[in-house]
Amino acid sequence: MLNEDQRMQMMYTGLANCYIGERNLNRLTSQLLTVVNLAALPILTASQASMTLRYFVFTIGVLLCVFWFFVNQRMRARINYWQRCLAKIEPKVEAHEIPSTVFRVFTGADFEKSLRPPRIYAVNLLPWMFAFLWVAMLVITLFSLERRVP
Amino acid sequence: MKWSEECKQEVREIILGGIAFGVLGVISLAAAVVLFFVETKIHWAVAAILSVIFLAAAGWAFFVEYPIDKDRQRCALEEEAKEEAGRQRKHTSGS
Repeated sequence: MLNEDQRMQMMYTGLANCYIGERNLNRLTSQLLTVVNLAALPILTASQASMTLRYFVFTIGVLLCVFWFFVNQRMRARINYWQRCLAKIEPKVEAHEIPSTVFRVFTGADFEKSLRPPRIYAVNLLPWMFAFLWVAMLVITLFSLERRVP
Repeated sequence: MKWSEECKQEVREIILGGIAFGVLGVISLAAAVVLFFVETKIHWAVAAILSVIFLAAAGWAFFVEYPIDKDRQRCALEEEAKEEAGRQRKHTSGS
């Protein structure tokens, strides 16, 4: 039978794994969608590509960026949830205590510093950046094609 | 950062996202209407598809994501109020 300390230790390890897993999944999704976007963007400028293909790829690209934004939102909510669970397990900061004397990972001033924007939200800006790139690339391609046609 | 503040940040972000999608949707819808009457090419159809995507995204942000985030924020505030009340009770009984 597990005692209270062992139970807490197991819970902490399990929750930390969930937290790490969720963060890794978030990064992996961002990496994957970045690669997909970067791979599909040159199709807009390819001289052999037909206009229908360009429009199709553009629509899919923008749709992916919209999907990416919502996926990021949901994932961040889950990351925050695991983080909050971990923070609950850690010892509370008492009013009379010197913060540096108790070891904490998911609470405390140092951890809060690492969560401050804009660093933490940089990944969430990627879908907007790519959506802008898609629109800009399509507009540039359309103008350059119209100039080429006599 | 408190949990309720994180939730507040999420709510703010989804509102901003929804507004941005809505603005983009309206712009592309206007572009589709203009292109439909000005040009005979396929451009207007692309602008129309784009406006559908952006307006659907704005709708999703405001009618699906926003209530979820708002509810989470309410739960966070309730939980923090309970914790604060417990702390106060402990403090007063201790002194």
